[in-house]
Amino acid sequence: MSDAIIVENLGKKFRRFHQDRPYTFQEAITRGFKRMRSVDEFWALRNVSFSIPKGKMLGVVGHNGAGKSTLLRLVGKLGRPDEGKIETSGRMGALLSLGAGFHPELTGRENIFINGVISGLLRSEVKGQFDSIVDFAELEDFIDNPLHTYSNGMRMRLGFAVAAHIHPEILLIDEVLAVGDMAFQKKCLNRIHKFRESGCTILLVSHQTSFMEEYCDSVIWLNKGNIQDMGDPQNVIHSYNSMMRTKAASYDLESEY
Amino acid sequence: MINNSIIKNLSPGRRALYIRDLLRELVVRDIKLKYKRSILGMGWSLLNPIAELTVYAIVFGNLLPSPIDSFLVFLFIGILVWNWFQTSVLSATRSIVGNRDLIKRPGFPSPILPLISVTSNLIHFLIALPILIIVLIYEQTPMSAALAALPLLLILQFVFTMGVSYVLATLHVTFRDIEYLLGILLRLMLFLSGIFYDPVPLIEKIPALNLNPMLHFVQAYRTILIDGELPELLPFTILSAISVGLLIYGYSLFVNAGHKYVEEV
Repeated sequence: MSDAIIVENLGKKFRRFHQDRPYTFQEAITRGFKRMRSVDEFWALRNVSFSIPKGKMLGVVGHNGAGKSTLLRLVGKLGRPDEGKIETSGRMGALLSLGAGFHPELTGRENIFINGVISGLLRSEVKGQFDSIVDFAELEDFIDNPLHTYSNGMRMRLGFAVAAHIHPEILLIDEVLAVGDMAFQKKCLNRIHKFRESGCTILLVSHQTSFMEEYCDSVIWLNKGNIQDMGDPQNVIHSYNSMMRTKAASYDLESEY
Repeated sequence: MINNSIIKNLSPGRRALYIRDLLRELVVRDIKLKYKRSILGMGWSLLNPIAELTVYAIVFGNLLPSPIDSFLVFLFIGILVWNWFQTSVLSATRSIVGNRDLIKRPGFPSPILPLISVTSNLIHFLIALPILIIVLIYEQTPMSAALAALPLLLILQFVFTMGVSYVLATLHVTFRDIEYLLGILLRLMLFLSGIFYDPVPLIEKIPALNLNPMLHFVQAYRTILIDGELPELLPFTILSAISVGLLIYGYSLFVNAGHKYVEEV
């Protein structure tokens, strides 16, 4: 089977700027253009290589700042790698920043159309799936109310519902599984599982290790931008969890003093 | 961005449909939002230019009388043409920074953002055109075959405005001053574009004023609508070359900076 995503020797450098990096001409002139330059660089990702065969699901774990989201964004072609390369084949969809383009002054209906088209659907396709989207979000009664009358949870449900109706060949998911209440979360997870069954290749970043253990074909553990461990979900997640427990325990000890 | 994953992997047919739908949805969003919660809604696109025209007509009709024949038409063309340019450029400049959530989505074709600003302001311009026609009839300006050249002039101004917008939107990501600086520059340019006066005698005194493309645009509209003639060929050709050149330059500047503003905004 061929690979849908190939990442080879990927490296991404971030620059740290002066805290008071000028954003206006006046600042640039008064403080000197020198400060425009970065003071220091660090690698957000380094030597990262992996590939995902078509139709498989790869999970990425790691503590905050390990480079998970950077990796996802680079695969989504947002930003340029400083080293290595990424190859993807197939129509890409993303469950990142759900509800991009949502506007509080517009109604749920209007927002579904805008967000659906932004997510890569044609207007006619949004129209065809409109009822199903509203049904999935469970927002039938509110669909013609402006979005600012929605609760946070309702807004996220609407965002996920639209995203659930794009039919990508590659899907990038960044920590969106914490949407809505328990029942809705379950629905989201089912949907992601369904995507996989229909042959979609998935790259998933999450802290929900139990879900990953159950559904991912393999898991990568990122640590400070490097791959710490990779392979069978059970093994990787087991060692990741035990490391996290040790760390959490050390905080407990510290707080006792 | 060139490496646009959503766009790149589409067949040319679907790509064209997709861009059309995206443009439509976002332009409609722009226009809906502009007049949301106002009672008159789209009516403001008509009322605004009328109100503006009334103010200027009072100032230059009674307070500082203008020697120009059919001054009302003369003035109104200037105001409409200028307003389309100014509102487009102002909103396009902010369009990258103002749409962070869209820019940060994989596959979103960011060059469409300035296009949306210029297009929705074109629509406001077109809504106000019937008033211009009424004023033309009121002043008994004869209509001529030269009117056929009007769409071409509109397209050319569109191209020019897009070029300016791409350059400014790119700069704005790094230097937010552009926004404020632009307000002042536009004000200066407004008075140098012969909106309120006949620029010909002034140009004879100060030939450098010729360098302002908007002056030529405004004059070309007047030549077609008031004099019923086609604009002179040579200045028109130069204007076309500048507009197309600027668009190509601006677009490539914008696209090349793409990876940068994704990380910076």
